[in-house]
Amino acid sequence: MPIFISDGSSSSKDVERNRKMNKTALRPSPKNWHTDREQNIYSSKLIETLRRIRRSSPKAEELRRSRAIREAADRILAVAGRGRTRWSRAILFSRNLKIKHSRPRKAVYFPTQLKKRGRPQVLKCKAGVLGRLVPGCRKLSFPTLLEEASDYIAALQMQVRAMASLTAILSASGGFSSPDPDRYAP
Amino acid sequence: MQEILQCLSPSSSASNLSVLERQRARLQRQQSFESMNEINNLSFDNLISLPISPQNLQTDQYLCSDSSLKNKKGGSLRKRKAGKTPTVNSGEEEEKEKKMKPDDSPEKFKESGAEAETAAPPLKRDFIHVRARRGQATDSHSLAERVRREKISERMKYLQGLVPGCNKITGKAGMLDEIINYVQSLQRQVEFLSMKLATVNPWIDFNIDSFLPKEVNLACNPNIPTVSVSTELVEPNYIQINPMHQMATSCGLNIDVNFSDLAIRQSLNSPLTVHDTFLDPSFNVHSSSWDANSENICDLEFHQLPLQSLPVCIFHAAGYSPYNLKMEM
Repeated sequence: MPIFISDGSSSSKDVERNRKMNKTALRPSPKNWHTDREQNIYSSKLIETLRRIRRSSPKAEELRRSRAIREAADRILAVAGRGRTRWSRAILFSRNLKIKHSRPRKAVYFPTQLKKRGRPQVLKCKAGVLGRLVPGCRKLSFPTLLEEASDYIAALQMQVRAMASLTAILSASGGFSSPDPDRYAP
Repeated sequence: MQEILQCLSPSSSASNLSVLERQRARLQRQQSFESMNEINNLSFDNLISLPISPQNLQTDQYLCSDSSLKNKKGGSLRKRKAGKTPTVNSGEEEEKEKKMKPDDSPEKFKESGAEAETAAPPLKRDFIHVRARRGQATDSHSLAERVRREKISERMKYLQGLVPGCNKITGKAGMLDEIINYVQSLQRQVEFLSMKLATVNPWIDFNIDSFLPKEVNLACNPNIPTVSVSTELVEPNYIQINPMHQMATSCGLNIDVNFSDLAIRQSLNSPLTVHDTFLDPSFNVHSSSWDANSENICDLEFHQLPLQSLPVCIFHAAGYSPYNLKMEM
C-alpha cells in the first residue's frame, strides 16, 4: 500500500482518520453482541431448534442430543453474526466436512519446548493455537487473527449468557444453578 | 496559487475537476521521480504565461506555492501524491523530503495540503497516509511496521477489555495465554450448557414461547428480580396468547370450571406439561397431589423456588384467567 509521507512535526491525525475509514466495516460488529436484542434473537432461534431436536429424536441418547444441540447453538451463533466474520462463515460452511477433532495438543507443549526458542517463535506458536481455537482462522495474519478472536469472544459470551438463562428458566423446578458467563476458570 | 484556483472555479468547476482527476490518474500511471521533475519545471514556466490551462491545474496540485517553486531546485519539495508505490525511488524521495523539511517553512506544506484537500479529496482517501513523527525513521518499511504494530496494539487493548482480569498483564505473550484460556473455558461452558439443555425436562415445548420475553429481563437483570416482576405484571396479556393457543390446539383440553385454580397451582409447582405423550399422566398426578395438599405445596414451592423463577409463576397466574372464559365456551 502506498504510504504518503509528510513532515514530521504534525500529529498523527491523518493516520487515525484513515484508520477509522478503513475499519468502519468491521468495527461495529463486536459491539453488537452485548445488546439484548441480539440475545433475544439468539434465544428464540435456539428454542426453535431445541424443540425440533426434541421432536425428531425423542429416544436419542443424551450424548448425541447434546452434541446436536451444541452444533445447532454454534450454527445459530454464526448466523447471528450475519456472515461478516471469518469464523461465522467457517462454521456455516464446514459443518458437513468437519470431523470433530480433539482440542489442540500444543497447549501442553508450551513451557518445555518454547522457552529455548526466541520470542517471535513463541508468539507465532501461540497465535497458531489461537487460530486453531477460533474456527476458520488457522492461517491468518496476526492483526486479523486478533480481530476475529475479539469478535468470537464477544459472540461466545453472548451465547453462554443466552444458554445459561435458558437453562435457568427451563429448569426452574429442578436444578437452580446457572453458570456465570463472566466467571473465568483457567 | 489560490487566486488561480479561485478564478478558475467560477468558470467551470465540475468539468475542471474531472479533467483534473483524469489527468492526475494519467500522470500516476506514468510517473517516476525524474519525469515529475521535468513536468514541474516546464509547468512552472507555463504557470506564469498561461494561467488558465488544464496542465497548470494539475501542476498546481503538485507544486507547493510560487515562492517555494522559485526557491527549490529539482522539485525536491514535492508532495508525493497517491499512486506511488513504495519502491526504492520513493525511499530516496522520502529521505529527501525529510532533509528538506528544516529548510522550508511548514506553511508551504499546509498550503499545498489545503489545496490538495479541496481539489482532490477522493484520491487521498484510497491510501493510508502516515506521518512520520519527529525523531523517528522515515523508512517506508519502518513506517509500515509502525502502522502494523499500532494496529496490533490497538486490537490487543480491545481484547484486554473483553477478557476479564487482564488489566495487569502486559506483553503479547501473556495476553495471548489469557485469551487462549478464556476461549477454551467459554467453549467448555457452551458444551456443558448444551448438555444441560439436552437433559432438561420435556415440558420445554409448551412453555418456550411464554418464556421468551421474560428471558430478556432475566438476562439483563439477574440480580434484580423485582424489576422483572413488575414489568411482567404490567403487560401480561398479550403474551399469553401463544401458550394458551398452543394448549388449545395441541391437546384439546376439556377444561373444568376449576381450571383457573388448577392452572395457578400448576404454575406454582411446576410448569404445565402439555406435550401429547405427557399430558394425561401429568394432569392426573398433579391434580391428585394438589387436591390433597394444595396450600402446603404452594407455600413450600414459593419458598423453595429461587427468585429468578418467581416471575414465571406470577406470569402464568396473571395470564391464565382471561383466557379461561374463552376456552370454556
